[in-house]
Amino acid sequence: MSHDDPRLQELLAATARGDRAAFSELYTATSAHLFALLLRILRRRDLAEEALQDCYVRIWQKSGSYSAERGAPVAWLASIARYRALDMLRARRPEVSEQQNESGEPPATHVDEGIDVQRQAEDQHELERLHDCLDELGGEQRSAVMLAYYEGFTHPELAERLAAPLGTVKSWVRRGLQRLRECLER
Amino acid sequence: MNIRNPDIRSLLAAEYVLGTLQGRARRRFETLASADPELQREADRWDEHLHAVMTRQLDPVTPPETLRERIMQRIGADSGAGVRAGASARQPRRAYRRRRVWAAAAVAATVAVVALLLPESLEQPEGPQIVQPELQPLMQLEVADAGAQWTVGLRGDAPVIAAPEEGVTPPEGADYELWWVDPEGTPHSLGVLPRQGERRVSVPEAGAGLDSGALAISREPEGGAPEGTPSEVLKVFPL
Repeated sequence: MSHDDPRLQELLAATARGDRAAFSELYTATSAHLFALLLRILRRRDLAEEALQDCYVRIWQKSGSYSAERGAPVAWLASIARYRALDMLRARRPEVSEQQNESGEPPATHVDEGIDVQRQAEDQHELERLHDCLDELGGEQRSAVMLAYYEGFTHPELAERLAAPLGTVKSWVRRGLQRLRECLER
Repeated sequence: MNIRNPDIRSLLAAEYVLGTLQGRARRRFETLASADPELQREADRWDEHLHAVMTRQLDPVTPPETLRERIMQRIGADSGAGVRAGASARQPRRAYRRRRVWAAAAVAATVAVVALLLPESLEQPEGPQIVQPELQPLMQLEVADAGAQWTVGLRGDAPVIAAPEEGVTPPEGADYELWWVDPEGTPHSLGVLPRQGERRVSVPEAGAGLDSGALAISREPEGGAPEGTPSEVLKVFPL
């Protein structure tokens, strides 16, 4: 499995022309990554399987709107998956929230050996640096950003979950993002 | 709020991607970004950043192979993609032009809707946002005899047929009906065409692909073909 961007870009372009074989290859190359993300967000295998189907049907339909200047193809694909999962999560919020664990902790598994990202060594280094940026955030900022990212929480929902005033939560998110940006630009 | 300030631009883009930018502020951002490629680029950058920071390190989990089969079936059953794939193989330029027109129409529609909702400021009302999936037009069915053009498209995953905005007025006591004609030439009713708005299309099992045969529109007595076969075929659209 290769995640090199040019190949994925070719597959997306072919998919946009209606090439089913290319679409199937795109699925082979990216579905395990997207499925992991969907499982992480939805925490239920049946929902994640449903979301994965929806999201690849959407990728099939939307492939024409991807272009290289939109950034890494896998990030673009993942954003489609994430939005689909968050929609499902919001629709089911009351039921799901009972099952959620209380923490905004990062996923238990974030080892490098997982996904076979065949990027250049430089990019790999960059990736590790990015992930370190998350660890640099303060606990509350980190929780707020992660809950928004993985649970789709709005500011008021964050305030409720983190038992903090709305204004405080907003500033945690803002400061968290600012610090991420500072770290990314370093 | 000064949207030229690079820090604010970046923060808005970040909160947009993260999802904490909600309500009118979210729509306002979308309007701004649609007219400002650099702002859109900033959102794309944040998409990449957050993906790298949050998602990229997750252990991959291989989904069951049955899912691929179901997805391939669904895109086979997706009339739009089937039509699109067939059309692009045979007539790439026309298909491309057609898609561009639809894309432009979709953008125009989005901008119009957003403009209506535009607030005076970026102050954001809070609360969950329920958004109906946008209609993705896939094929235009223009019938000169009816003086109307229907749009076949997808709303979410559901195939729908939509009347033109101004509505359709069939002659007194008549209705227009949509058919799928299978490759053997047998017509299958897909229902009476809406006069206003849109309705879902349920495609018979056999024609689920909608990638062969043709669509046809007929004029029928009000309520649809009494015999279950088209009375007066007005136009045929090969798939």
